[in-house]
Amino acid sequence: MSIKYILFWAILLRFLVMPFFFHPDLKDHHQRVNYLFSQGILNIYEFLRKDSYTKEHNLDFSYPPLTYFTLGFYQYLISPILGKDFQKWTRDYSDYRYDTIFIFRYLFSLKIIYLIFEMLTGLLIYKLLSNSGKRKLALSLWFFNPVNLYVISAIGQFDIIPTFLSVLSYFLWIKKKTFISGLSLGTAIAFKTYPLLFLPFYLLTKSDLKNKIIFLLTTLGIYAVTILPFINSKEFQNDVLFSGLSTRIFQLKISILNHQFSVFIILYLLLIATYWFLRSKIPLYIFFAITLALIFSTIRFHPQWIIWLIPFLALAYGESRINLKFIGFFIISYFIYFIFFGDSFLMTGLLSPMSTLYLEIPPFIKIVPDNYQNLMGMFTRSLFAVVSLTVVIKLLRGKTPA
Amino acid sequence: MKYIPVILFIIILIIPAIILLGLRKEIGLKQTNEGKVLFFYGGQNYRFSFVSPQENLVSVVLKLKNISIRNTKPVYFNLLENQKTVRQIQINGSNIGDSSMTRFAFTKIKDSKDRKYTIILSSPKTKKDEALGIHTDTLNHPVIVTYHIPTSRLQLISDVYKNFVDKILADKIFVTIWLILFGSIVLIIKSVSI
Repeated sequence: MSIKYILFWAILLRFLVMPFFFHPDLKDHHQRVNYLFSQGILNIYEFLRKDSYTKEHNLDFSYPPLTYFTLGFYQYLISPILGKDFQKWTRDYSDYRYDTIFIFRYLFSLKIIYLIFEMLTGLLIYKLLSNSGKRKLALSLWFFNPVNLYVISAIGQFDIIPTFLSVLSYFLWIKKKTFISGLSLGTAIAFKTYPLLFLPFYLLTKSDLKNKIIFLLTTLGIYAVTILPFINSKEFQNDVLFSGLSTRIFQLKISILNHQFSVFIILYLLLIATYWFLRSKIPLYIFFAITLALIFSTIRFHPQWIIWLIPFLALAYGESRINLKFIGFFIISYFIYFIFFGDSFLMTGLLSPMSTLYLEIPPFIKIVPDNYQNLMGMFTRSLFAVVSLTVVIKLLRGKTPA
Repeated sequence: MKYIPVILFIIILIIPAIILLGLRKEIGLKQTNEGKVLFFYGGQNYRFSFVSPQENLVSVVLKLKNISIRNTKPVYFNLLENQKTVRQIQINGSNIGDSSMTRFAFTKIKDSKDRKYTIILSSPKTKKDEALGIHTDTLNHPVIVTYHIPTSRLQLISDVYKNFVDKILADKIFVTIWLILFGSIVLIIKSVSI
């Protein structure tokens, strides 16, 4: 299987999915960022809380400012393709928003930016595995696993941007380019906060102290620069810093001696301690992967979050640290979880641009009798948690490369 | 691994057809342009006629407006054929949102294809200040969708794919951009030595 073969099919599959699958989040994000260049709104958080239209439609924007400015700038760049009706479409909340003949153009052009970051992530995986005989297989795993097609091309979530930046940060760290590695991680955090969890592992590596200080300062510095102009805004604090999304990892708690402790935080601290002892045996990225797998096994997560983990799994597969069977179980249990999630926009509703008939198809959970739906939800959730924990154990025990 | 992308390609092409097998209803008449709102209350009813494009008419969805959800009076939906009521539904005004799609579902009318039906919306106890509205286009045609139980799954799948292709071809700019981008990327992949 040649690289050209992989790239051709990767592009073809994405070109077939991107224009024809729709998730409302893509439209909603671009509805918010539209204010940037249509009205010059810089503080979207304050604006959304005060404007009567946005209040009426209960709109908010729970992502950091860099996401808003990046997507806003991208929307501005492609505005000649989107055309003059685009703004009206982003504000259409009716069941007939899929009927516009321009919808394929909107979806395709809005998702192109994600395709670019997905391709670049593939390039990094390929480069990181330069000494591996399985690098082409790992690249195929990255491009041909259904999770990528589902999250990036069908749903169209921007999570691939921080994912790419996290992998880039790791790549640059390996190449001993500490400063730009820190910049890259800081920029990733400025899109979504989760890569902040990788920071302690970088700081515990065997690299010299000066490098670590440079890395820490650049990472936190670039993040601080992007949020400082908004830090005093109460709306920003509520919608981003202390939003449900940011604090969700603390939700699952256990009680020890009358004190409540977050399960994730306990496991995470244990993982950091484990890294201290195993850092010469197990590569850094494995601990990023384990951190993310622990998130998925301890909290209710959004479907797009899974993409944070996939590049690291592809790397682990390329280095024979996990076999395809486990990754296959992981992906299957992920889809079982979301098939029975009860949100039709995560499954059949994605096809609504093709025909609104797909909105008439009841969610798959309806095939389960009403009394057992909660049980089914718990079962699929638990199944995925168990498979995620199995991946964690497998990654920790995986063999070292020859 | 070599055949996985080909398998994915086939899945992407056929999965929409397989999903349609789970469909219980198909869309018949559909008019979603809206330009104004007409009101009905007391003795002033709303009346509209349409020809059913499919057999097995089973529900009608209209976009109704209950300003600030004030109205809590009985609302009647009457479906007539040749001036005779064939289906009647009574709902409460509180079930109608401030501009929401409201579905009137009834037992199927088997031989509905090409037959002319009249919808009458009335609310005799409603006063003018709590009048209910129906969204229409500028020619007073309501925002309406009719649903029918499919007679042939194969025909349905073929219709969905045909309409899908027609919708793609309707946006020439999209088709052009897609072809140019895809062609250029394939050419680049072919010409670059990797």
